[in-house]
Amino acid sequence: MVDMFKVMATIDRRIYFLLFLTIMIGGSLYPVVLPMPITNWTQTFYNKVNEVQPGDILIVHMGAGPEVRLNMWSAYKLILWQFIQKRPRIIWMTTWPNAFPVGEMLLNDPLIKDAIKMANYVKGVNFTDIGFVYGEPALVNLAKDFHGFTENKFKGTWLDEVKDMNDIQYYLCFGASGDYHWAAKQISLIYKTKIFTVSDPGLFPTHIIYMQAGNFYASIEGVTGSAEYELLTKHYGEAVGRMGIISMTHLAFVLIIIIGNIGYFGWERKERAKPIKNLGEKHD
Amino acid sequence: MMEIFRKKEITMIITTMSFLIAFLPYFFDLPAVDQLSTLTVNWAITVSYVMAIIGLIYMSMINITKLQKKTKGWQYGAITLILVWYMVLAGLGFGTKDMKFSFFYNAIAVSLTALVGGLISFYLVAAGGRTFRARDFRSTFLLIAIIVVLMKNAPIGLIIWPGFGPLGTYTIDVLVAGANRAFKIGTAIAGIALGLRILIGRETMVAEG
Repeated sequence: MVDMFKVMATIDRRIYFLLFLTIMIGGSLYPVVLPMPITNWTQTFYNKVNEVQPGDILIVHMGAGPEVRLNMWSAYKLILWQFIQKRPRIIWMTTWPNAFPVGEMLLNDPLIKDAIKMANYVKGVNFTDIGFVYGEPALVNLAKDFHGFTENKFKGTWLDEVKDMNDIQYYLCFGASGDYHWAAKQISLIYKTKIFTVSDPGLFPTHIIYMQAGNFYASIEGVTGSAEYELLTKHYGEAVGRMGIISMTHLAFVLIIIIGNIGYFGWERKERAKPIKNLGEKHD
Repeated sequence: MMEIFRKKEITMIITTMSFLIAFLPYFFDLPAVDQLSTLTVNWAITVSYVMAIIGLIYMSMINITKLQKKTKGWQYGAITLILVWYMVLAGLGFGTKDMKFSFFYNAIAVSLTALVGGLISFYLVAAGGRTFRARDFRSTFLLIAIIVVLMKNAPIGLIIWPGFGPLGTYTIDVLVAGANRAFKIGTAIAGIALGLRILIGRETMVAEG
């Protein structure tokens, strides 16, 4: 007779792969939209972006690599879109070599392009790309002496009113790696700038620490935050659709763990308790 | 003459001076030291740019040697060289906004990142199914936390049991953030201890160059 507990404890991983593949393909072909609540963090983030006034100065820190295209793109796009609606003056900067094309993708997204056009952004007048600011030391000097760091390239433009980071009201950190640590250490601890960050799920607890300590003004977890932002801004897109697949995969993962544990208590634990026979013999 | 510069004391003096120059302006209003700090930080930035160029040259040399000797995996070395130098030259020649540069990035880098992420998820699930067992109190606690956070982050979890929402939020905002805070404080204190050891010459790796 087949021992069901043994079967449960020793399921071949190819069966797991097949199960997951089926869920992913099925979820992509037939997306299911499920009701979801807006978390407190996302709602707070949204409300605080709404505080931005026309003419405020915002730095957009682009430090994300292509990985953000996978699951956080809606959050990036819609947060930038919401900021643009508020018409702050924007300083754009890039902190990693692989973030240049990501920034280009973001600025060339039809939604952002339209928003920029509608809000009358003109390069050099209320939108300036200062280019590459590489590493924490560069951020230190930029924050301390804006024109000195940029070799006075922007003297005579609207950026004349920026002496140091105290003159900048908001800082939006699109950094997927450790960039936000730099922002916390070198900007929020020293200057008055309010920092917004977007995090991947694994790092979000670190952002919570910075928020609770008052270093970050608002933070959002990028994956579920993407879907929540689509709901808040009423721009329903890929993130809301993806939550159906996420639901199914998470549920399948939980079921797999439960089945494995039933197998463990029914068979595996007893097997492990048995003394090992033929100890000392050679095995292949 | 060169022997003098190899002395441990010289390294120590340079390290201590650099530390003080960078450190003091955070706590005291010393305009001269602040200017010096800006200058040394600019040097650090320049050095980091140069390091990237050295890395590129070194990586090319390793792969060229691999090709010349036809050692195992030389084909991958050839692909690496072609792609890296294509991106460097296309970026320098046409700019990062040009299609010749961005197409390769969008078509290869973005897709491969998605591929890696997708592959990892399969192995993660298989590993979870085969190894996440409630063997003792700690692993049971971990399992419960995993299930709660997974269900909290999926809308279906909240449909199954609305309690997953507040319980998951508590797990992330209090338990995980608390543990992270302890970890961060610990690493910060360890960093200070390491800095002090470097300053008093107890870290031989730094002091002896």
